[in-house]
Amino acid sequence: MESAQRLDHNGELTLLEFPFIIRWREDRCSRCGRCTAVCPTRAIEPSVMAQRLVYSDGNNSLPATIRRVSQVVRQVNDIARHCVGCATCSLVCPNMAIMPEYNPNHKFLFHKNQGGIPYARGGRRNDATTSTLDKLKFTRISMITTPSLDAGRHEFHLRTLMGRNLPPEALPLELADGLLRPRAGGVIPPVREIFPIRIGGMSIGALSPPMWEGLAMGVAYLNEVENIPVVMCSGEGGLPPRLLRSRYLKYFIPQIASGYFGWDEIIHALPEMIEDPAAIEIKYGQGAKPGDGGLLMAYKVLKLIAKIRGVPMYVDLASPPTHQTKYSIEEAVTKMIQSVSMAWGFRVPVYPKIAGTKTALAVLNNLTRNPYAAALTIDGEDGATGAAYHVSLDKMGHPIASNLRDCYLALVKQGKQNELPLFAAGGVGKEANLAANAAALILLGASGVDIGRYIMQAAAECYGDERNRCNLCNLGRCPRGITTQDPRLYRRLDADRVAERVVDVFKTAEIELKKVFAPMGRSTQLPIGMSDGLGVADPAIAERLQISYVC
Amino acid sequence: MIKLFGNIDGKRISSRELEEKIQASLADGARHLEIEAQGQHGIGGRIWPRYAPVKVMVRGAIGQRLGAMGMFGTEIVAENGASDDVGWLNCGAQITVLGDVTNGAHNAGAQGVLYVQGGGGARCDTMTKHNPRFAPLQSWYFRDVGDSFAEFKAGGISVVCGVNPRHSENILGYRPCVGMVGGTVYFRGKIADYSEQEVQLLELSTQDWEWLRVNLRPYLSAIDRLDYWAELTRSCDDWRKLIAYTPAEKKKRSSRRMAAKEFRRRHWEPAVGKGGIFGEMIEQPFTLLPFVTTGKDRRFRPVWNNERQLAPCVAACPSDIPSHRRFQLLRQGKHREALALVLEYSPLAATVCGELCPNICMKACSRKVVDRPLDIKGLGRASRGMIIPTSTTATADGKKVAVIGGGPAGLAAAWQLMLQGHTVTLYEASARLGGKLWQSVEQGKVQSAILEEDLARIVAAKLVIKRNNPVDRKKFDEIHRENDGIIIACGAPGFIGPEIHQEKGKILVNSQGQTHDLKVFAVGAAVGRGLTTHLIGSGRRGALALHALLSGSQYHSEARNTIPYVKLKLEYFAFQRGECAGPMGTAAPLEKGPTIPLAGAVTPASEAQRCISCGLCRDCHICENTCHYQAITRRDLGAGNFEYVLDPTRCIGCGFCVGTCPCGIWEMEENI
Repeated sequence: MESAQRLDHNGELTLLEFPFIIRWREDRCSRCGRCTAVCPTRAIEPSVMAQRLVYSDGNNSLPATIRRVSQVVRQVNDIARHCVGCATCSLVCPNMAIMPEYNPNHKFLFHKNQGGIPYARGGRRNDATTSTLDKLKFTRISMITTPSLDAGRHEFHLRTLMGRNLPPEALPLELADGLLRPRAGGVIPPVREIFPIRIGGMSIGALSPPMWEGLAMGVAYLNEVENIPVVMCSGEGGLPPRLLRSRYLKYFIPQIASGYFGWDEIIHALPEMIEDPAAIEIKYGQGAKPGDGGLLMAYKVLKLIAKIRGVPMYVDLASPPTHQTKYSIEEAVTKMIQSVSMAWGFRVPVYPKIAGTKTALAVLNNLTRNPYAAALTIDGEDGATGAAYHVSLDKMGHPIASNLRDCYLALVKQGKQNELPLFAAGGVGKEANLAANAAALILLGASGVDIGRYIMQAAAECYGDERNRCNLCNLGRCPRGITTQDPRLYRRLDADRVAERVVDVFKTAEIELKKVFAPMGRSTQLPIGMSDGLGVADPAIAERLQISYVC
Repeated sequence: MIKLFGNIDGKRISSRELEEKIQASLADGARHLEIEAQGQHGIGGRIWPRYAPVKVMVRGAIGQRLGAMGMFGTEIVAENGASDDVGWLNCGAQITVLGDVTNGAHNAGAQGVLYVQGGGGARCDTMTKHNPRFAPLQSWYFRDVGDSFAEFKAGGISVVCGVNPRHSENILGYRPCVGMVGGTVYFRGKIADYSEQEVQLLELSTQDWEWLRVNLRPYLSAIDRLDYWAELTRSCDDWRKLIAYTPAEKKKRSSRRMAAKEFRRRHWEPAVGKGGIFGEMIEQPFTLLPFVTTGKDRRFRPVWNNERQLAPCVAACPSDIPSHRRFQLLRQGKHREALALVLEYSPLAATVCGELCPNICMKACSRKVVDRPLDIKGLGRASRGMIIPTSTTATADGKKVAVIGGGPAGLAAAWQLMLQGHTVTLYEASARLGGKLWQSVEQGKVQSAILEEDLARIVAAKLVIKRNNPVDRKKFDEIHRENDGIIIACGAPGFIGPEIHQEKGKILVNSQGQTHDLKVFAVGAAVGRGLTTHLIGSGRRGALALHALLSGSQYHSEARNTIPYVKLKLEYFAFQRGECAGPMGTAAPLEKGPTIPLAGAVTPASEAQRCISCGLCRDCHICENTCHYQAITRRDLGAGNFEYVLDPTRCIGCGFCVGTCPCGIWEMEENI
C-alpha cells in the first residue's frame, strides 16, 4: 500500500530546480495535445486542475460555489523527465500557447544523478561566454596602401592542401630529358586540394540515416555542381557499402578509431573501390571528451547500424579511450599511419586527429619526423559529441586557439609550417560566425578547420545551444531526427533539404571568407599563419597568441 | 573660335592653368575652343549649360578624364585617342573620340553620349547610372572593349559594334556585367562569359533594333564610319543584348543551380543506387513524417486498462471483496446486485463486514485523501438478509468434496465450493456452525440474530452439513476415499497422517493452500492466523484452488498491483465536502461529468457517488469528450457491460485521455 504522503510532496522538487520551465497559457490552449504528443522527454503531460470559488451575491452572506475541473497541460516535476527546453511543443502548437523558458537559477545538476548514475548527454561544453575565436578581429585592412580586393568581383582561390607538402628539394624527383619525373623507388606524398572548411567526423549511428546522407549528398553536390571541393569525415561508424563503391568516395575521409567499427566492410570493399578516399583520419581523441572513448548507446544500435558496423543489435558500442595495441606514442602513430597508408598503396593522405591538449606538441614533433604523416587535426574543447558524461564535456579539454597556435609556431621554428598542415576543430562557428572563426584559425596557422555541431544547427535546425538546450543526442530521442535511429523521429528530417542547406552553408562560407580575405589583400593563397592580420582587445590573449593588442 | 595650348613657349602648363583659361574664355563669350593638349587632366568638363552650345576640339596628348563632369550643351571631339576615364561622371556632354579610349571610359557616367571610333580598355561603362529626369547615357565602341566591362552598371546604353576587334573571340572582355543592375549592353560578335547570376542574354526586340538603327547613323557619322552602315545593319540577328535581371526576377530564380531532389535523381542515386546510400538497408521509406503522427507512427499509445490495477479497498481486503464494484453497481441502479455481490466472496458479510471486521478496506480507501473513506461497513450491514441470486444446485460436472470444520474458514470454503457447483459435505465436530464467531457474540461484539441470519442462509443452501461429527484418523481416511477433494478448516487437526506435513501445529501448504497430499487443502487457523476476514479469505481461496484442481483449470492468486493515488484524478472529487451548489450557484447538477451529490444522509447510493472507482472505469465519458480527435468511442456490450475503444488512425498519442481519466484507467505505453 502506497503511503498517502506521496501526495504531500515530501522529497519532491519544485519546478524552480528545473533548467527549463514551461510557460503554458491556459487562455490560448485548445487542448489539442500536439505538444504532449511530441515532447521528447514527456516533460509535459495533460492533467486536470480543480478551481473553486465560494461567493455570495445579493445583500446577504449566502454562500454559493463555483466549481470547475478543467484540463491542463502541466510540467512534470520528475527529474527523469525534465524539460530540456527544445521547444518542440512551441513548434507544433497551433496557438502559441506553450513555450519553455530557461531558468538561470536551476539546480539541475544537484539532482541529475539519480541512482548513482552521472549525467550524460550530447552536445558541447556549456559556456555561453564569447569564445576566444569570436574575440579575434581582422585588423589589417588594405586601405589604399595595397590594392584591396573586391570580394564580389575578384577571383579567389580559396583552397588548402591536405597532405604532406615536401619542399622541392625533398621531393623524390629527377630531371630527365628536360622533364621532372619521379625518381625510381621514391614516393611523392599524396596531397589533396580542398576547401579549407571540412565536415568533421560524425558517425553513422551518432547521426540518423537522413542526416548522414543529407550531409554526404550536400558534399557531393558542392564538389560536382558548385565546384567547392568540400570533404567530409565519416566519423567512426563505417561507411555505407554503396558509398564505398561509388565515385563519390573521393570526397570522403573514412575515420578509423579505437573501436574499429565498420572497418571490415571498408576492407572488403577495397578491391571494388573505383576511387580513393580523400584521406584517412585516425582518431586518437575527441575535443569534446578527451580521454573518454566513443559510445553509441544500445538504443541507437538498430538494424542498419548493426549492419554497417558489423555488430549485434541493441548492445552498447564503446570505443575505448586508447587504441589497445599501441604502447607508445611512436608506435601508436607510426604503426597506424603505416598500416592505413599501405591499404591504399600510399596514394591516400593519412593523418591523426587528437583532442586539444598540452601534449599536442609531443604528437606534432613525432609527426614531423614521420614522412608518411599527412597532417594533424587538433580538436579543441568546444567540440561536440553525440554522447559523453557531462563532466567530460564541461570540464575536460583544451581551447583550440592557443593549442593550434603553439603547434603552428613550433612548426615555424622547424621551418615546416607549410609542410605538415594543421587542421583545427572544436567550436568553429560556435556562435554562428563560421567564416570568421575559420579565417581566424587560418591566420593563427591552421590550414583548415572542421565543423560538426555548426552544420547540424545550420543544416538541420538542431536545437542545441550553450545553455544545455535539448542535447538529447545520446538518448536517440532527437526531436529533429538528427541523432536518432528511430524511424518515427528521423523521418521528420528531409535528407534533400539537409543537402541543400549544406550547400547554402558552404556557398555562404566561401563568400564570407572572401569578405574577410579580400580586404586583407589575399586572394590566391590562403593567408595561413598571417597573424599580423589579427588583433584582439584582450592583452592576455594577444600576448598568448602573439598577435597585436588593439583597443 | 579660341585656340588654347597646353604647352606655352615650350613649357607645359598645369591642368589647373589650362582649366582656368578655358573657363575664362567661355566667360568671355567663346563658344568654340580648340585645345592642343599636353597631358592635361579633365579637359572639356564642367562647362555650364548657360554657355551652351559649346564645341571643344582637343588634340595632342590628351590627359585622363577628358570631358569629366561634362554638361549638356558641351560637345567634345578628341581628334585622336584619349587616355583613361574619358567622360568620367559625364552629366550630359557629347564626347567623340576619334581613336581608342583606354581604361574606365564613362565610369560613373549618368547622362550624355560617348562615341568611340576605336575600342575601349578595361572597366569601361562601369558604374553608369540612369537618372529618370534625363535621357539615358549612351556609350558607343566601334571595335571591342577590355575586361570587366559594365561592372555595377545601373543604367544607360552601351553599344559594342565589334568591328575589327582586337580579341575576335571575346569582344566584351573577361567577366563583363558583374554587379550590373540596370541599363542595356548591345553587342555584335562573340563573347566568352558574363555574370549569369545577374544578367540575361537576349535577342534584340523590334524596339531594340529600331533604337539601334536610329542611333547608329549619327554615331557612324560622328566617327566618320558611315561606310559601315550596311554591314552593321545587315541583320538584327548579328546583335545580342545583355540586360540585368530585375530584383523580382532574381528572387524568382533559385540561387541553387540544381535542386537537391534533382541532384539525387540525376547524379546521386545513379551512382550509389536506388533509395540512396542506405537504400538497401532500410525497410522504412524515407518519406517525411510530420511531428504529430497517428497509428504506428506514434511514439506512445493510450490503452484502456480497465481493472488492470486493483483499487486500494480490494487490495486491502483479506476476503478480496471488490467494494468498488459494489459501488459501481449502485451507481448503475443495481441496488440488489450490489449488496448481493458480497455473498460471492463471503457468506458472513453482515456479521463480519458489517460488524466484526475492522474494515481495512476503509483505511485504504483513496477517498480518504479527499475527505473521509467510503462507508464500506455500512454496505456490509445493508447486505443483512440478502439471498444469493445464483443457482445453488450442484452442476453436472460437479465433484464430491468435503470440508472439515464449520468455523468462518470452513463455512467460506464450503460456501464457495457450493457456488462453484460441487457437492459439498461439511463436517462440524460441535452441535452448531460458526465456531469462534460465537465467542464474538458472547463478547457482545455482534448480535446473535445477525450471525444466525448469516448461518441460516448457509444452512438453507444445498450443503450436506454433518454436525456433531468429529473427524478422527479413521473417519478422515473414509472421507478421503469418498471425496474428490478435501478442505481442512478446523483449527487443530489431530487426525491427519504423516503424509500431510505439519510444523509447529500448523499444516504446511503451498501458496494456494494445497498440502503435500495434492487433493487435500488446508485453510484458516489450520495454516495461519488472522482476523475473521482473513479466515474467510483463506477459506475462499483454498476452495477456489481446489475447484481449479478438480475442474482441470489453473488457479491464479491475485497478482495485480494496487493503483497509486497519483494515477487518480482526485481533483474531480476535491470539493464535494460542503459543496453547496451546482455551476454558477444554481442547484442544478452539472450537465456533463460526474454527478455531485449535495450534502445529506449517508446511504449506499450517496457513497457510490463519492466512490472514485479506482482502477475501474467509472463510465463518465470524460475521455471520450476530452479527445480532440474523436479517437475514443464507448461501445455498449450489453447487460450493463461496456468498453472504451481507441481508433489508432485518429489518435496522436497526446495522453489527454490518460491525464484526464479520474480512475486511472487509460495508460500510456510505448507504441512498439
